[in-house]
Amino acid sequence: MKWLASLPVLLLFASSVQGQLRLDGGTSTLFHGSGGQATMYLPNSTISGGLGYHDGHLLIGASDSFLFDGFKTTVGDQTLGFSFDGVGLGLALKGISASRVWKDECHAKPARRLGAVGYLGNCGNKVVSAVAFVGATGVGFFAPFATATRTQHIGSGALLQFQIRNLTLSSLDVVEGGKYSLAQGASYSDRHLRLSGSGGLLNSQKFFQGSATLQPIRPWSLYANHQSYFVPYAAQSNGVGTNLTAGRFTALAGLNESKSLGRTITGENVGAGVRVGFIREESTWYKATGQTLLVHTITETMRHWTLTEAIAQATGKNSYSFGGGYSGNRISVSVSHSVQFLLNGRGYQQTTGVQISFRIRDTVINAQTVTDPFGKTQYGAYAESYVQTGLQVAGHETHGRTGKFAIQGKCVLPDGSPVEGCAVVIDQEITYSNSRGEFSTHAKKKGVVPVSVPIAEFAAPGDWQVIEAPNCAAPDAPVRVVVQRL
Amino acid sequence: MNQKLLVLFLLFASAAHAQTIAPPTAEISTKPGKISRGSFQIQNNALQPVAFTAEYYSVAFDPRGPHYQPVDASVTVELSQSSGRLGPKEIHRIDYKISCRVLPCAVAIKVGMVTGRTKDGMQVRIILPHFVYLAQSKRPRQDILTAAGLIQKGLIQKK
Repeated sequence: MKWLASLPVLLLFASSVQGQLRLDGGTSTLFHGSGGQATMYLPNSTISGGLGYHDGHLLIGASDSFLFDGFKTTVGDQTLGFSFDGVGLGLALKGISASRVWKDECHAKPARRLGAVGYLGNCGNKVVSAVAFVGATGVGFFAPFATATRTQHIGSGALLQFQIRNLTLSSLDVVEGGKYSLAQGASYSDRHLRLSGSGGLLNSQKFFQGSATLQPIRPWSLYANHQSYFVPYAAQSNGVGTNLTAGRFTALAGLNESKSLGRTITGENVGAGVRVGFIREESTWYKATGQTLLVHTITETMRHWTLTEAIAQATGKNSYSFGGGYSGNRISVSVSHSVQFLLNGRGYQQTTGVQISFRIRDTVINAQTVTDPFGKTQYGAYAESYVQTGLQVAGHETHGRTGKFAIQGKCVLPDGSPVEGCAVVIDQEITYSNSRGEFSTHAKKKGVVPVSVPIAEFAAPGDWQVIEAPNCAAPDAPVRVVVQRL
Repeated sequence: MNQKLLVLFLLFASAAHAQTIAPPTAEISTKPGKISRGSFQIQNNALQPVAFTAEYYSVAFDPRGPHYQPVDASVTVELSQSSGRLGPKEIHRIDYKISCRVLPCAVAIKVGMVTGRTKDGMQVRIILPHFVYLAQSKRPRQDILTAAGLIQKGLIQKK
């Protein structure tokens, strides 16, 4: 039985400490748990503490990261690993780790020539990083809102990364509970080619995953990928495909294969699309497990709105679906439909995803559904908030008023010189004056609105006092604010 | 069977720059006097909020580079927001409408963000520009920069 073990607040005497406090909390079936976490970013360290409920277990996590003799040291719950384009491997640790990065520094020397002094630099592009760790490893609970480790074995190991120009090599080697995990990864990226892969032993089991994308010319790309899964059961997926864009026309084709529970399922898809103005039409044909599916999708994209209509034809029947979304600075909502190749032996299936996100001042709240590769719809909801501790908190919202009535003004010195960086709050909306001393906002109603000048939130350097400022403002009546620097 | 959870996760690498603007340029094929719409995003990757202002200028190019000047009467620019506050890790979108009676024309929208202040009055401010190139051709940016002598035709590096 799931229950929300959200961690509302973990205040750490914030007013007396100078730093930033980040609060997270949420719940997700994708991560099999709920939890909350507080992270304090201090000048010399980062401290976090969290509480989670994962697969029937109550977990407590805490960590402290700081610099020690040039090594970034982390004590407590942490994740270690590498990832390229979503392909990688991670490790959950409750222990201590130390890492360091070495970069090839530039060696510059003056050029022997007349005129402006120049430097001929010989900069290397090599970066080497190493992480050594020891502690208790086990099942990790890694969610955007909490991190905790359920320890099972004592282990130690190292993570090495070597990067030169476009090539990155990684090696994660762990010994825990008598088992070995030796994961090697590599990635290469340039204008035409992107390669990434990782493989080796995971708890003494072989695994490999990789992806490749080739773009010989700008409109045309080819891709291939291979993924291994272990949860909820062992499965593998393979895919190859190509995309072509020529002006307003697009074309795509792909092959998919899944291996799970002793079955191998293959699928193929071919599609084409055309864009006319803000309307886009795409038709894609899918075939797998002896069944075919033809999907026609029409998408209208306007500034903040997207609308989607889809017709799916399968086994002589038609089905209709609608989707869309709104994306703004304060709120984003979307309902989307797509066709996914699942690993549960069902081939291509239509899936629906819902996503909502909104921001209130420095707090962001997200909720979304996602269909995993095995066809199960998971959901998640979490919130993230930042608190400025020990510093002046600017709590006014600013999201870009869409009203019709402009209220403008100017911030000046007593002699009339413009002041840049004045903060003026007009009807609870904070604005700042530009290099000409001008500021503006938009009101939805044609009426008088309150005005205030919070000196504490000035972006201009120094200390200021307000000489003259109105208490209210109205559209078409310029506001004049006179300030003086102390 | 002792199942281990395979952790596949994306490492959220922190950005190299604390504040960014995207995209840095926009090209619009339009007609004289027609209102063209566009948008760009400003992002604050820092943990502290920053104040920002957005100002627009006409841009003239010559072989020495861009030169900014106040917009004249033939150019009309309207921003959805001219200033505000970016919260920690916030991405904010600014919409604009531009109309040029004479083409080609180029407009720069400069976003200034105060990233730090000291008690003695020193201020650190980052200014990130968003260039908008408008012309009747299919490649406004290439045409404007070629006419200014900044690039040779046919030598533009494809992205």
